[in-house]
Order: sequence, then structure tokens, then C-alpha cells
Amino acid sequence: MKKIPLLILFILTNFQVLNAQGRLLNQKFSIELSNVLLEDVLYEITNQSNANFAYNSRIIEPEKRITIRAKNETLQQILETITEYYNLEYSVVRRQIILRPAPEKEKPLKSYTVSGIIKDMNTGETLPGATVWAHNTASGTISNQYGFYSLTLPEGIYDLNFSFVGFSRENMEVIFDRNKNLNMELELNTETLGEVTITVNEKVEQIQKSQMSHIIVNPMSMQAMPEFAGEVGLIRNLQSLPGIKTHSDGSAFFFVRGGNKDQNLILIDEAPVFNPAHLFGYYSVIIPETAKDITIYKGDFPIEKGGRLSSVIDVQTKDGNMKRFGLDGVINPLMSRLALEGPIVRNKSSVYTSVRRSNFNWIYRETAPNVDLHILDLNFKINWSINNKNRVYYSLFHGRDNYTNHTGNTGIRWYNGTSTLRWSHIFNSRLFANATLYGSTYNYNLLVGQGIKWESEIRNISLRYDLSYFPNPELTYKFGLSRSQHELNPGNLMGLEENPYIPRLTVGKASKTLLYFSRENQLNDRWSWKAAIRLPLWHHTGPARIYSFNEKYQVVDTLLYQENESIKGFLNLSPALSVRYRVGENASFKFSHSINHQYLHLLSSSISPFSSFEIWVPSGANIKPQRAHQTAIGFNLYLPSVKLEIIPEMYYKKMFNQLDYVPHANLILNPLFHSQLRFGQARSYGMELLLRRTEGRLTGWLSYTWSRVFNQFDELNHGKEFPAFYDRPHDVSVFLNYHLGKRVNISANWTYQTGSAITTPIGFYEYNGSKVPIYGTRNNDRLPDYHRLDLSLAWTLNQPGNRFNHSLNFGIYNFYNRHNPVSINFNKVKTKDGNFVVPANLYGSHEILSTQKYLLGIMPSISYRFGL
Amino acid sequence: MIRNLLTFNINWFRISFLMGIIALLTTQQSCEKEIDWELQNNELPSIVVEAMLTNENKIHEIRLTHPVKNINEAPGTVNGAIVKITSGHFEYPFTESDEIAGTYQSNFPFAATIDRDYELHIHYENKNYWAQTYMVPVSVPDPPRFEFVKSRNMFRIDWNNPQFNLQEQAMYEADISWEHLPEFDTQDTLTRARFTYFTFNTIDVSYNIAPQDKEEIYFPAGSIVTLSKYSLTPEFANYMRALLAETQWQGSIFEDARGNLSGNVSNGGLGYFSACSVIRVTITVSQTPGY
Repeated sequence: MKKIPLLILFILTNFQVLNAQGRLLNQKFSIELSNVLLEDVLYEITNQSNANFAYNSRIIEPEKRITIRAKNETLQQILETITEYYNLEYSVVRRQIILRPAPEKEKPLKSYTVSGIIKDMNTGETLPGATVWAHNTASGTISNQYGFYSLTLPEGIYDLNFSFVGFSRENMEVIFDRNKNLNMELELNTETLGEVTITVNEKVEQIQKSQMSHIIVNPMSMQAMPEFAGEVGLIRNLQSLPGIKTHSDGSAFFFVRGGNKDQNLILIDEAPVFNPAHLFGYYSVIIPETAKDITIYKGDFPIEKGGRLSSVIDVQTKDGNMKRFGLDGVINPLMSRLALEGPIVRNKSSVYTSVRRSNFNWIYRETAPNVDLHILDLNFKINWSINNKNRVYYSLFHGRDNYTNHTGNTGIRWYNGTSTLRWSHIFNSRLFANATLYGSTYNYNLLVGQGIKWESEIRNISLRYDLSYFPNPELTYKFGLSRSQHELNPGNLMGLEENPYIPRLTVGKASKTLLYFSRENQLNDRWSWKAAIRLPLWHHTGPARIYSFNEKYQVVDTLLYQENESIKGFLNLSPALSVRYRVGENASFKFSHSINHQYLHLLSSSISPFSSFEIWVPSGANIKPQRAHQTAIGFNLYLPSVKLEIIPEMYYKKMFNQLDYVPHANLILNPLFHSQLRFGQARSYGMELLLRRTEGRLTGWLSYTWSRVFNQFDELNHGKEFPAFYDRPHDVSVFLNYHLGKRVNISANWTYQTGSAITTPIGFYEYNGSKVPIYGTRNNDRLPDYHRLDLSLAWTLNQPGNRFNHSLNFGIYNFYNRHNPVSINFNKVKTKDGNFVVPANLYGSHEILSTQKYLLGIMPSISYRFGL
Repeated sequence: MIRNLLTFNINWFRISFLMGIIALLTTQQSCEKEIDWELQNNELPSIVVEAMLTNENKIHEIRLTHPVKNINEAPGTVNGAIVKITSGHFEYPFTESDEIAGTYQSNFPFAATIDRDYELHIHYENKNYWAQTYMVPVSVPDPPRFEFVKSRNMFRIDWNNPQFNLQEQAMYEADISWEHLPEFDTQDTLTRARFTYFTFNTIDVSYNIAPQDKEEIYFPAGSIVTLSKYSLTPEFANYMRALLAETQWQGSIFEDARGNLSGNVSNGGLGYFSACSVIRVTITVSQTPGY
């Protein structure tokens, strides 16, 4: 209690002091001085206010002058102006004002953004996937598909490093003192060209944050890979990558992480290609030489490019040389290709065009002189760089297979076409936008003469607007929306008069409206994460005749829908999350989980390696969207001393609403084809390992995959789980490439896969003179293991540095002539001349043999490449 | 006229297109070779029913056999079964033949008709098997054409009935005999042949477009060809189409997934009980090539 009077005394005393200070600081006066020293100002204040100043003259810059104009302002306001200007602070002790240096403030550093386009110095082509790295920091970025990069750093001077595989590295000192545009041109390093097929950059791993399950293929250097029939096929080479299995020799089908063949989205300049096969699968429509960038995603798909369950193959075609005209081509006994590119207005706009046509008529001229079998590809692209912020592209792809007679009225013909119009706009150094209008068509015809044909078709047109926002190097937002319209013909007879006997198959139209958003955030040096949400709204509409079925798949109702009348809608959220944890400079753990939906389905009960009659149908009243949940964990390790990258990944995928068929399903010209479908689940899991070395005279990779895929359908195989056809547990590939000198390069590729799961009989019975197989469980057996060795030698004929370059490529496919079977059959007899034929005479007593069919033995090739 | 529009034969594929395609594909040495393949051992179903009624007034036969483990093994016959066919109030009992084991013959001749349902009843080893079928009409077949093969101085059959017909599905059976010709009467020479041909209302790539190489049957001038055209109900056509997929079309370059045939015999029985209208045409192969 004694303390209370003392406290009151203290308060009163201090109140008096505070009150005196307040009076001093609040007195108002005017002062107007120009270009004077501080002591002159203080003298004037003392004159007007009786305030005394105390300070050490050394703390004041002696020659620093001030201009002050205050009109009826308080002493406090005037002091604040003065002390801020001289970087001082003041305090009042009685009537004395003491000046002293202001403590050093943590001055917040401003951040600035440097952005621009990274290009090839020789051609002006933009370089997607190039890295920009601020030396001695943990900050960097990767150029997007259009070569655009944006790097935001605190104010300062940085040594920026620009690099792209196969190109010379560029270093540049850049002052981050304002937002600025910095375009960079990298020069092609001709000495390393061909060394690398799959890109790696030691900084990519650090920059990529949480992206996993993807592989960037450098199309320029795919020439180093062994050829098949003189052509480097992208799909065939995918087989050597972990997690991707092809069907067999001569097939364009591939299966990614246990997904079916229709679960792969192949994009050429954003537009989907529905059949990537030429000649039933022997050749691929994707010509590596016409591509600028090829990226394969096995999971963790780019947010704007989902829509299939298992993979995205994203191909960006060449823009064309902005600086000079160029010509290149390939000639081999079966195919020829010629490409022309050049500027329309130098450094402003360019054009690229490529034509590939088969020339294999010499093979069949004797046996079938009246037929016309050919394939044709046309790639065309034009781009116009309006200014630093706007660029417009238009690209076209036309791929055609023609197997008809000379009059063209009987035979098979199919066509893939895509067309893309794209406008890239840089709003500012941190905001990049893309508006894309694209369409694609896949059309399949069986011409039966008399103007009659069976035709199936899928047409798609889409408009998409994407935005990428880079507030700082640690944060990236992507968001956008798209609208797609699909028209489908599931296969109908055309050229016939309307007749009730002619079945008409209608599946109507479908539209997809998609909203998406993703945020990628690097929390610190170790942790980064990415969260993404896709929200597709699928709408199935008429005109269509839709059948309803009972549990026995008998029709119980038929509904006729008019044009644009709503049939069924689906709204499914597709979220994705990925996380990265860095361990040291060049290693990181990664995790991803995603849910994907697929609304377009390929109906084909064929197990053939070749594409045949293909029907695309939409999700709707009788088909639910396919859905997949995929979880993957991985580890990335880069060993700079030996230039070796080690990437193990493990995944588990569960797929719902998967399609299969009743045995001997009838899908063609069957209006009730939905009754032939069965729906079930699939699960796949596996472990992948990729070791790759990308620099030096010896480069290459080793990949190994152990994986399983199982299907379960309540109404098939007695409801029991069975392995999928593409369940091939062990898969090994070794690719080695060695530079013998500056002009000679040799490479070898060895592939091994467990044989596909197949169904073989457990017995037979006789019916109408035929031996009919009896099967036990589905896919109860396996084809013999698949393996082969391919070799190639590329011999450059010109001296290095010559503008005209040309080379001879020799290849041997299946060097040791392994007969890898595509089927095992139990229906053949051997004729006297050693051929295997199906017995026809039902009176005969035949010894039926088991046989295996294989497609490709040893196959040498030669091709001549040239470029100018 | 409608028939012409709704049917077509894709023979062109067989001749030119296929040869071109196959030549192209087989440039890559597509090939077939014999292989030893060990089949997995599982329990097999009990009986196989091969029963076809026709609209001919005759003694009908039903063949009952057992499945076999090995493809070249002769099927065991089902003996001692009780077999009958019923149709409404009518009953047609069958008795096992003394001469051909496993073959059951109707006790009296009868002809099936298109306006009735027929039911097959089999009792064997304490199990009952049952199947039901019906018959659809058949149209008159086009007679087959014969192509003279100069190198062999023989003929081969050149089908001209359509492979594809939206209105009518049918099975053709050509029974060719030249055993009556004096120069072909020895025991060790092939003197008879029977083979089939189908019209479906489906397009099957392995049939219409890329069929397998098939045994060629050559026969001399003077051979007698009996062409029988059988009507196929949609269900039986599906069964025969599946049978072809598992036999003649198996291993074709556009092959479908394999699977068991869905017959109409209950209780796990294999085979099919069918009823077909049939029209037969008999032709003697002329000396004049090209007929």
C-alpha cells in the first residue's frame, strides 16, 4: 500500500514533463529556407520556438543541403521532415532537442522480374524447357512450351545462366533494378548433338519443384536411336522408357502404367490425335524431325492437358527458322520426307512445312498391280511475332493412310487431321496468357464399292484460354478454362438409300467445359508442393437413339433425343497434389496423387497389334466416365561427377468404370453395341528405375520396370480378377550411344519384356467338323518373352561445320532375328509346300498344329539424310 | 434391288488388297512356325451337343460327344443318354445308333417348321441338359461358280453368295464328290470335300477383310457339287460367328479377344441345338472352264 503514493508522485512528475514536451513540439510556426545547411535550419527553429538543439556535428553530412517550406506547421512535423532527410532521429529532454543518427532500418528490398523468350540462335525457334538459373542462389525457372520464362528476384545484381540441352550455355550479368524484358538466344552445340536423347539438366531437378512422372524427349537427337525401316518412330522408342509397354512388333499401341491403349492422350500442338498409327501401326504419325519438343507424362499431368487416365504425349511442332531458309529430308527405300522452313519476314514470322510419303509400291507392284497403298503426312506451321508481347501461330497436321484400288472406290482409308490457332500474349513480366482454338478429326472408311462405305468418325473443336502467373520464383499459378465440342459417328454404312434394314448408329454429341486452377509453391529450399483442381462438366446431347437395357442386356426402352437435347451430364472434380522434398543439391523425394476422369472411349475388342475398325464413343447414358486414382512416390538423384541421373519411382493406380467386352463382341454396325460392353475395375502397381547418362562420348540409359495389372469384371471370368493382356511384369531396356569420332556415331538398343498375358485353351470339342477351343480362366497363359537388339550406325558425310550436311544411317532391327510371337494358334495344318493354313475340308482328317505368328525378323535399313 | 444394296461381297480384298497389304506387312517377314505348346490342365465340361433340325422330312440325328484335352484326340462318345425333342404337344424320341456311337437318331422321320419352338432334352449320368431353338426361312442360294486352275487342271470353288447381308444370315455347305469319276476311285486319293461359307449381318475384319490363308480344295471336271443353304437365326448366327472366330479366324492379323462360345445348352453343356431351313442345289462341274 505504501507504493501507491510513490506511484502517483511518479505519474504526476512525468505528466508534467510530458506536458512540457508536448507544448514544445506542438507550437506552430512557418519556415521557408532554400538550399541551406542543417545548422541554418536549426538556428531559425531556435529563433522561432526557443527550442535548443544538441548534436554531434560529425553525424551530419557537412555539405548536405536542404530546402524546407513549412507554413504554420508544428515543430514535430518540421523535425520529422528534417530527420528523415538527414537520416536522424530526435528526442526531447526538457526544452532541449537531441539529434542522433537514426538506427539502420531493415530496408525492404524490392523484387523485380526479368522475363522473355529463349530462342535458338540459328533458327529463331523458341526453346521450351530451357533453364534460367541465378548463380549462387536457389532460384531459377524453366521456359514454358512457348519459350517464355519469368524470374522474379530481390533487387540486386545476378549472374544468370541460360541453358538448354544440346545448346551452348550462356551467362549474363543482369541487374534486377526494374522489371525488364530479356530475350535470350542460345547457340546449338553441334558437337554434342546426337549425344542426348532424353534431356537432363543438372538444375532442372532443383527448379522443377514437385513435377514427377514425366520425361522430356529431345527430338533433335532421336536420330541417334536405331531405326526401323529407315524411320525413327516415337512410339516404338517409348518402349525403352520405364512404365511404358508397347503391344508388339509393328504396333503403335502402347500402355502406360497399366492403362489401356485408349487412355493415352497424344497432342500435336494441343490438338488430340485419335489414331497415331500409319500402316496399321508399323509407322507413327509423329515424326520426330518435325517436333520441337516432346514431353511424356505418365502421371501428374499438366493441369490444362488432362482428360485421359494414363498418359499425355505432348508434341510441339517446329515453328520454322526465323533467320534463314532451310531444307532437310530423308530418303529410304520405303519412305521419303522433305521439309522446308524459313522466314517470311526475318525475325518476325516464319513458316515450316514437311511432307512425308511412302514409296513402297515396288513391294507389291508384281503381286497386286491394281492397288494403291500409300501413307502421307503433311505438317505445316506459320507463326508471326507481332511484337515482344504477342505472337500468333497456326499449325496444321494431315495424316492419311490409303489402301485402295486405283479407282479409289474399294479399300480402306483413314485420316487424322489437326489444326491449331494460338495466340500467346505476355501481359507483363509475370503474367503469360495463351488463347488456343484447335480442332481435330479422325475418320475411318471401309470402301466396299458402288459408292458404299462404312465410316466412323470423331471430330473435336476446342477453345482454351490459359493463364500463367509468376508472382515470384517460389510461386506459380496456372488457371484457365476451355470448352470442347465433340461429334461422333460410331460407324455407319454411307451411300445407301434410307432403308429400315440398314442399322443406324447414333451416339450424339458431347461437350466439355473445363475450369482449372493450380498453385505451385516452393516453401523453402527443401519443400515445394503443387495443388491442382480440374473441374470438367461433361454434357452428352442428341441427336441420338439411346437404348436402355435390363440386367440381361435386353432392350427395355428406346429414347429418341433431338439435336442438342440433353441426355446425360457429369460433373467430376479431378484434384491433384504433388510434393517434393529436396535432399541436398541434386536429390529429392517426390510424391504425387491425382484423380483423373476420361469421357471418350475407344471401342475395340481386338487383341491385334494393328489398329483396325475403331469406334470412339462418349460417356453418356450407358457409359460412365472412366476414373483413375494414381499415387506415386519417387526419388531423383543426379550425380554431376559422372553425369548420371537415377530416377526410381513407385506407383499404385486404381481404375474404375473400365471397359471390356463379352466374348466375340459385335461392335460394328450394331445399334445395340452398348449391350456388348461390360464394366469393371483395374488395378496396377509397379516400380520403375531409370539410370541415364547424358554427357560424354558414351551416353544412354538403362530402364527397368516391374509392374502388374489386374482387371476385375463382375460378368467376365466368373467375376474373378485376371491379368490384363499388357500385364508384363518385367521390362528392361538398355540404350547405348557412342561417338566414334566427329562423323561416326553408333548405337544399340536392347529390350526385354515378359510375354503378354494371353488366353489359351484347356481343351477342345468338335462341332460341325471344327475343333473348338475351350478356355478356362482369362489370360491364363503367357506369350514367350519378348526381346530384341537393334543396332545403328550414323555416318556424317560432310565435314563438321559445313552448311550442307548429309549422312547415311544404317540400321539393323532385331539383330539376332528373334521371332517374337504376337499370337499362339491352334487351328492350322501344314501343306505339302510347308505353309500353314486353316483346314477347309470338313471330311478331311487333319492333324492340327499349334503355331506361333511373329511379325518381324531381322530387318536391315538404310536411309540418307540431308539438310541445308 | 434392295438385296443388292444391302449385301456385298468383299472379294476384292481377298484378291488385290490383301495381297498388297500382306506383301507390305510380310516384307517385314511376318511368319508362322510350329511350336510345342503345353496346355494347362483343367476339368472339362461334360457333354457336347451337335444337333440341327431341318425342314426336311427325314430321320434327324443328334451327336453327343465329350470334350478332349488334346486337339487331335478323337472325341469320346456319349453313350446311354436319353434324348428327345419336344415341340408343344409333339414329342420326338431319339435312340442311340448301333452303327455310329454317340449318334442319336429320331425314332421316326419328321420335318421341323418355322412356326414352332423346339426343345431338346437330354438325360445323361444323372444330369439333365436342355436347349430351345426355332427356325427362320431361307432364300434360294446363288449357285457357286467354279474357277479353273490351269496349273492343276482342276477347279476350285469361287463363292458368289455375299459375305455380308443385312437381311438374311445363312450358312452354305458345299459337298463335292468326284469319287464316281473313274480316274479318282482309288482309296488313297481325296475324292470328297465338304466346306462351309457364311453370310452374316456383321462386318468382321477377320472374315471380310483379312481372312487367314485357307486350305484350297481342287476338284476335277465332272464333280458333283451339292450346295446346301441353311437359314441361321440371329442366335445361331452369333454362335457360328463366334465358332469361326475361334477356329478359322483365330490368329488373323486383326484378331479379336478369345473366349468361350455361348451355346444354348443348359447345365454347362457345350455345343448348340439349332433348327434351320435348308435349300439344296446340285450341280455337276462343267468341262468348260469359268462356269
